[in-house]
Amino acid sequence: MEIGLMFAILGAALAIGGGGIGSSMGVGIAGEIAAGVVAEDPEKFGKTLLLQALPGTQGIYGFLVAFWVILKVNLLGGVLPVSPEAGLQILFACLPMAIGGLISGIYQGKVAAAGIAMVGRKPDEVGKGLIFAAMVETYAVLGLLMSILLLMNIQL
Amino acid sequence: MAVARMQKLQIFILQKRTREFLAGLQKLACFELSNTSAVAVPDRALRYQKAVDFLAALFPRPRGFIENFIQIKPVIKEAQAGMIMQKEPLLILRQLEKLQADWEAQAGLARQLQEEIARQDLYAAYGLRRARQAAKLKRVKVIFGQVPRKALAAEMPPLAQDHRKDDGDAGAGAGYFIQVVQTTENTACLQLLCLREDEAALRDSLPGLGFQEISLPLQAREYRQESLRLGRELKKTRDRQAKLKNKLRSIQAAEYAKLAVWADYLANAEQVDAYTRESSATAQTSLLTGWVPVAQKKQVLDYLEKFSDALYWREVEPDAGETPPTVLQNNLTAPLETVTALYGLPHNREFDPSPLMAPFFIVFYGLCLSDAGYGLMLLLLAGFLLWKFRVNLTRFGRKLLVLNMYCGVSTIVVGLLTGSIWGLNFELLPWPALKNFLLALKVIDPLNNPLPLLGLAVGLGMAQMLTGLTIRYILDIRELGGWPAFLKSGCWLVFLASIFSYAGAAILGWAAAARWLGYLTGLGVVFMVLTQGRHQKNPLLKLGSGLLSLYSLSGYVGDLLSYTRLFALGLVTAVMALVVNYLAALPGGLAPLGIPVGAVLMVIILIFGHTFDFLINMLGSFVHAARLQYVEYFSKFFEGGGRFFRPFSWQAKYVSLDK
Repeated sequence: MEIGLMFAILGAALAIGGGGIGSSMGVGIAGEIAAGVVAEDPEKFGKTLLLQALPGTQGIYGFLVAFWVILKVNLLGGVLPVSPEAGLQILFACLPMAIGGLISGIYQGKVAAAGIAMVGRKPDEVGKGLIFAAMVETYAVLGLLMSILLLMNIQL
Repeated sequence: MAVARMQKLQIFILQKRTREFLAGLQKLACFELSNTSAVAVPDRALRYQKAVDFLAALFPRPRGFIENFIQIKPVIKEAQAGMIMQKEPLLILRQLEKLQADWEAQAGLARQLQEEIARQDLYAAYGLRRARQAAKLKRVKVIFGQVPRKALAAEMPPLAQDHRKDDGDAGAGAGYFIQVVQTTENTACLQLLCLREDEAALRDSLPGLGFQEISLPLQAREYRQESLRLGRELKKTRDRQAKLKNKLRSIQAAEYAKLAVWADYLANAEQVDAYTRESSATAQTSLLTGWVPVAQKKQVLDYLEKFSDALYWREVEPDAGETPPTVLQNNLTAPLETVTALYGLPHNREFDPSPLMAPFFIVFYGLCLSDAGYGLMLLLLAGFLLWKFRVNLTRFGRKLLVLNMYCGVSTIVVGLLTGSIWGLNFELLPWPALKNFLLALKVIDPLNNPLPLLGLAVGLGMAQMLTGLTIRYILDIRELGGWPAFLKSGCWLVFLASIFSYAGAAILGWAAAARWLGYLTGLGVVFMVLTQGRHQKNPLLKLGSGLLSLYSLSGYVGDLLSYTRLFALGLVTAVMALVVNYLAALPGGLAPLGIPVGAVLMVIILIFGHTFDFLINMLGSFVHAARLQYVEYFSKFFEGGGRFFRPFSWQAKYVSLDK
């Protein structure tokens, strides 16, 4: 396999790996607290589930970037030739999503967990909890945006 | 588009008519009582509530997934409720209370028996003979107990070994024999033997080993037999419970509605009683003070007129520091009130931002969800829920669903304009007319050329920011007057507008316009530097503060960049839809032995994938569209801090009444 393609695949792997780790940690942190709240009051399942789902998006963004790379190099069809330079460019273009997704997923999970604890005491405030968590997600969205814009403009 | 004007009223009414008056006021549901915060003393209602709660806990209603998000109460027709109200089901209540007491006694007995059986089973590991022998020993003490098996392996010395210390240092640990009687998966039953004089020292060292002592009772019957006897008794108790449960089930089926209606009725009646008690002002008179929205004043005054022989009322001003409750009044944009309420209601002197936010929120939501197929799903889902739960929904829930229908429509429009319908490839459509129609509608192709959509997102951001600043400027003009308001916020509005126009003209390649707008922006910079330090006395500091004020531009740029999320989130939904279709197509032709496994897999992937994409992005779209309103838009002009108007009204806890 040529080195350029290997770099590109590494980029895709980092994007989905970073986003996936961030999301799984974030969803995990939020889920632990949610289970505690639901143990006290099963009626709050719906509201806590909404908050738990929020840190899950980094994984999806990472998947999206990885898939974009796959389409870019046509990995599922006849693979396009990827020069080592282009491969490295793709790898670097994936990093905003990989790093941004990893870190923001964890912190968003913490904020979502705090929001879930808030719902435990004040069930009507779920909207505010969602918005607090969405503030963190901004940086995953910006990472995704940058990765996509970079990928779009890379010439193989 | 407004916060409703509120009127404070004082009502003096003869005490003998107060209860009747309040009962009518409760039905009217447009008057908030503010002078008394009466809490109902639970009495008869509590008995009914306990009975209903008991039945509900014993026979839980099957709950649909949707009930996690919408609170649903059983629905009863008003006519049926009226019939139920004709006769209080006191006999049923008494019978139920008796059965409940029986049930609880039997359940308690069953619990005790279970615990006792578990204990006897544990004792049986040692046997009664061993316990009797141990009790007879004079010099030796036998301690029975159990430890976790892990502790046995790690901490306990080997089996039946003598651990008597030779140095006689009792404090360091007593000598003892240890014998494992039985082991289970997790625990080991032990007996420890020591001299009676060493017992105290041994006991001191035991807790550290995780040792739990068991004292074996010297009873007449062998432990195993006692356990079997108790088991038979437990079975009898369970049989009695089952019979009771059958009886309770038939009562639940026949009488639950009656009990629930009466529980709600009595709780509300007791609330009227509480207010009647709490509002007495003199020996003969009650005083009720509260708020009514001006729009509903006539309704209240007409009602007061019915009691004209027994009451006197007057309009009063709010007390010092008292803020009236907030009621929002909108027609078409009423559903947007839910988004405002999530942030916080405007206080009574503020205006309601809901209508000014409406177009932005709805369009932003559409851009985030961005797929016409999902828009249709949202529209149908919200419409279905609205119809299905029309009786149960709160006003807030109803508005939220209507808002989702608005957003569904905007998503369909955005989806058609960007050519995304469940991620379908239009070229593969077998109907040329439909294909050409859809392709003609597709004016933006974000996958091949993302810049127009990105530009649209930023352009909408500019429009919203400028709208926010315009509102701020108008509010400042009202508060400060023309020129001071211009210096405070008006100049920022013009300055940002010129920067945005300059950037727009430069990007679009309108050189001449860009040049003039560039001059205007330069002029703006000079103006800001000269005026924004005006509060300083020292001329140098004036200039310094003016220069520093330009730093606020970074905040505005940050706000503007935040709107790029509309593009990114829209792309996520659309591309995820494509990916789902792509993955679904992979096993499409798979048909080993002529069984169309691939087709089935394809359908499963399509349904699951699109549902997941729809749900997760629906949540994201709402949250991010709302965030843009709260952080980038409201921050320019809106404070919030109002409180909800809570009229004295009928509160249903158990049943929803349907007309």
